[in-house]
Amino acid sequence: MHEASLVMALGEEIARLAQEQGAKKVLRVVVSFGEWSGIEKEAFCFAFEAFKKDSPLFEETKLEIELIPAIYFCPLCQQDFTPKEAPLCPRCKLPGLPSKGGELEIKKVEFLVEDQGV
Amino acid sequence: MCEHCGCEAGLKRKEITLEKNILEQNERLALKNRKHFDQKGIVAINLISAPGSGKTSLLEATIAQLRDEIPLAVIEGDPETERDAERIRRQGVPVVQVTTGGACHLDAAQVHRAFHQLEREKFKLLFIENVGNLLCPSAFNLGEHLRVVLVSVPEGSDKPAKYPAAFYKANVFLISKTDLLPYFDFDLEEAKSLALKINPRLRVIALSAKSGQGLEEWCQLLKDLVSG
Repeated sequence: MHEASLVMALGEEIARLAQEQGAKKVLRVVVSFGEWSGIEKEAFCFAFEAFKKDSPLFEETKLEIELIPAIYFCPLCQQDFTPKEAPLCPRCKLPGLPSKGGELEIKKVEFLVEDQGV
Repeated sequence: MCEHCGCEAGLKRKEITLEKNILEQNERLALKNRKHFDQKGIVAINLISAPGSGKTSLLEATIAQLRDEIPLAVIEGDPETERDAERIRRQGVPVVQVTTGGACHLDAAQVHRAFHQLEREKFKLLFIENVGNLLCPSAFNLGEHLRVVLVSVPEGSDKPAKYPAAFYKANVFLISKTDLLPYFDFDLEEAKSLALKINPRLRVIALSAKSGQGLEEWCQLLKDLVSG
């Protein structure tokens, strides 16, 4: 359900950047979500489509979603590891700390801007 | 854009790499909240659970145990009504109700405003009772020191497997309503091990606000936090 709030936050962030860049349109947005971010991909796409209808800047925006697998960090061995089941360090078998997997990131934005060279 | 027909002549594509948190605005405010709490020497707890898991009952029982030792305050998040705030107010504890107008979670800005309303009160421990929802609140940092996720016995021991996001970022996992264990097929060990698989650093406490079982361990944890 909070996918709608996230889409709003995303829209605000990008609209601000678009203004800075003097962009006419937002062509593409790439977002990445961690495995444990609690985001439902379909719900996010649905909310984004609804948002596009009311936002001229985003009329033609293509949304791309990347998923980031969970990664844990072992403070003892000072290394990252991808757990197969329980997140225990493969070297020392002690529990790791969550390091990646909770992300909700805007990765890339592609704008249509004035070509100053013309 | 071309003024004659709206074509893209004279325009070019520009790609920008950001790697920025979508909720950056919320994160910024959460950091501000955290500084605010620290400056005043207040420990803030974000209490997350599904509706009806017993957050408010747990708070009532906790207040009854701690009120003579630690001055407390509560921020209540609910989609509508002042009901929960009234329950806490009856305990003689300062409380601010945040009604989210149907929204499914609290955000850092709401907590910031609510905290200002408590400015005249003197307290060391702040409970933020999030909106009853095990999914959405987990994405929103409020600036808390401790995130507590609560699951009650009637909900079933497979909750951690169904809602990993809530457990991934939590510090404490409370299993509530243990007085009902004889009547439900709730496997304490299963709940515990599922949660620890997601987040091995979780502190797990099983308790009942009704019978008082486990309350002492929970209250001791809070006392240790406040005394730093």
